[in-house]
Amino acid sequence: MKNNLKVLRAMRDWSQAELAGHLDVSRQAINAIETGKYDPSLPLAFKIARLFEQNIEDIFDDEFAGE
Amino acid sequence: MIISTRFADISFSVLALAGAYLIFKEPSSAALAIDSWNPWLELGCAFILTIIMASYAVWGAKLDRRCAEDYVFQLVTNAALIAVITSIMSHAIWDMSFLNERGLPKPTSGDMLGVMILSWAMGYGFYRIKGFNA
Repeated sequence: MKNNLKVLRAMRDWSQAELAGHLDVSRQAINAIETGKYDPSLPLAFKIARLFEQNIEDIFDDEFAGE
Repeated sequence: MIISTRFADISFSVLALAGAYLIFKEPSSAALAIDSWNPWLELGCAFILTIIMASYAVWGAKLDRRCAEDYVFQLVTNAALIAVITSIMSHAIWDMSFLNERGLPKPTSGDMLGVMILSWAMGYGFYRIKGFNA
């Protein structure tokens, strides 16, 4: 699933480690989400959305929408 | 304590070595078969043991979910599926191989445990490097 987490993180001038600290996950998990290797669980997606004050669908691209 | 990705990386590297050791070690002498066991008693013991161990595994998985971060838990569970499928397939192929008639020994429980652990570690490594969407 594509996402714009890297852009949002850059806008706040955070490193992956800093974002990981805010979300209480590992830096490797943030890297895996940003590179599309891993889709976060719903609770983690909500946590990310709350942190950046955006809707989930504004951060994560639903590639199956419209099918 | 939350199980981190780094901790899981190290654990599965050790598990891979343990799995390889189990496969390649010399087979131990076969256990003595006890003829006096009633087959129904044996079946009952196996059934009860399976229920106890499965309940323990369910409890353990719940603990894992609480203690491991989401990414690590997904890595571990997806790799476990690879391990189960690999174990079933390799046991079936190895046990029924025509090479058994040419001297290849039948797989022991130690061999299968080794295959399961090694394939679990390899599955973990694969998903860790390539990601879940590869």
